[in-house]
Amino acid sequence: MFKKLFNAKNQTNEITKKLKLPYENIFDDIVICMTGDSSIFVENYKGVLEYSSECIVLRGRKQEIKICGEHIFISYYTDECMKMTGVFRSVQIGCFRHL
Amino acid sequence: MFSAFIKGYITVHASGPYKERLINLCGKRGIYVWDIENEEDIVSFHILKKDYDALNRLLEKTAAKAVLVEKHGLPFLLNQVKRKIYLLFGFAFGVSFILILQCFIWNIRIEGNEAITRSQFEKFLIEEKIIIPSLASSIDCYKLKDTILSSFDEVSWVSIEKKGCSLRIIVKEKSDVVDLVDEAQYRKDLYAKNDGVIVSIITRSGVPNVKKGDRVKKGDLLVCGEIPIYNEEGIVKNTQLCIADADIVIESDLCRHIYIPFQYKNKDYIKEKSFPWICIGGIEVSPVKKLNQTNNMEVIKEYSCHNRLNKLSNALCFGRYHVKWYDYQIVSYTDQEKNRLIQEKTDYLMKRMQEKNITIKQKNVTIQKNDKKWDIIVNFQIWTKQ
Repeated sequence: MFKKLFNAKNQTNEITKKLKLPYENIFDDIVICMTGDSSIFVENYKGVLEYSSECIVLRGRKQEIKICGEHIFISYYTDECMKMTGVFRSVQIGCFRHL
Repeated sequence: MFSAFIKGYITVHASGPYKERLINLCGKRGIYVWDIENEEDIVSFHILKKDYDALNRLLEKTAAKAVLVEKHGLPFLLNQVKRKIYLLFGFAFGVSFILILQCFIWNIRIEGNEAITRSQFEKFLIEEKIIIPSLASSIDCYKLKDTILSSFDEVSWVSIEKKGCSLRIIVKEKSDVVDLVDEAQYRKDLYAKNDGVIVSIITRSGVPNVKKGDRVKKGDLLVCGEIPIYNEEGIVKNTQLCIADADIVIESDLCRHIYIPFQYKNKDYIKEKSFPWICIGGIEVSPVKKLNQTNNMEVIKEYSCHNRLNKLSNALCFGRYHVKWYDYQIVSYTDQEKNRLIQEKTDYLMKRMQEKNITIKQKNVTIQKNDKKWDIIVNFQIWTKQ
């Protein structure tokens, strides 16, 4: 079963590559654009799990993104994209909240 | 930001255990949220004015409390103005007043005129019905230019420009035009400017008509610009024209009268006060006009207009009247004061003459007594250069 899943994912990957389609739309992944350590632009997220001035945790389809830093300030937030400013120290991917 | 200002936005402080859920729900429900900041337990953010009701509905779901902290934008400003409607009327009146005034010409500048005096020009403009104030659209610059050229022979070129509330007329007179004629064909004689006796004459070009010691009258020919060329028999064969040039000094007498009354007002100033005045469209308003205009007051008018307002000086100008009231006593001049006054006025006369390059050789002062004043006759013997 795992082999089937792996094969299916591989095939999707190949088709996306060949047809030059955007990965984030096909795989529904979070897209993060970082400018230095002062500005981050995020798209394709599901929501905010945790927010404080030192840390923010965003939920994606399959994973969570934890961004740590200082004076984290959300310039704007919509359903599709958001922009944050501040001094960012680290970006981690994983599972950070036990529901 | 500008569109948010036009629509109106508010600053909200939200607190509660599920602040993140509130932000997520705002995003899901299409409520645009920006400038989100987290300080301790309070999240502050901006939302548009129209989304406030939708936010209130979300607060129940998230068990959060939201407090409206600040209001920004045009809708809130207009609400404040609605309460003070007279301010709006005043603003509208001021703007319309300025716009109406801008349609008129309030200042006329004439430049480049030397032979034609400003008063001549002003008289001409009044005849052409161009006065202050005049409607700017009624002045046809091309037609006025043609009229000036046809009315004044001395003018060779004219430019008229309407700039703001100012009409600028630049003229170029024919005397400014450089003669391209050969100087040798041009003749200029020297004439006496005043009566007197020739003290010295040094001729550089031309034929002198007078010599040292001759008595001349004003307008007499001193040096002729036509040089006769004689042949061998002494008959004038030809004439050569030149510009007569000579240093001529004429001695003449000049008489001046200085009048000093026997008595004068010795003023003792009691009170001084200043009043504002304003002139709008040539009509002056000031409390000074209501004062009893007596002989015992001096009024000095001070203009406070800034330089930038100069062009609108006849449309809008303001300043202050300084009024001084005084008591006076009629006092007679003492001999000392009289002599001092005579000396001062004589010195002033001599200074003015020296500025005009007149040399004073002798001075004779005679004092005569009339009914009400002293008549001081000052006779000068002067040397003037022609």
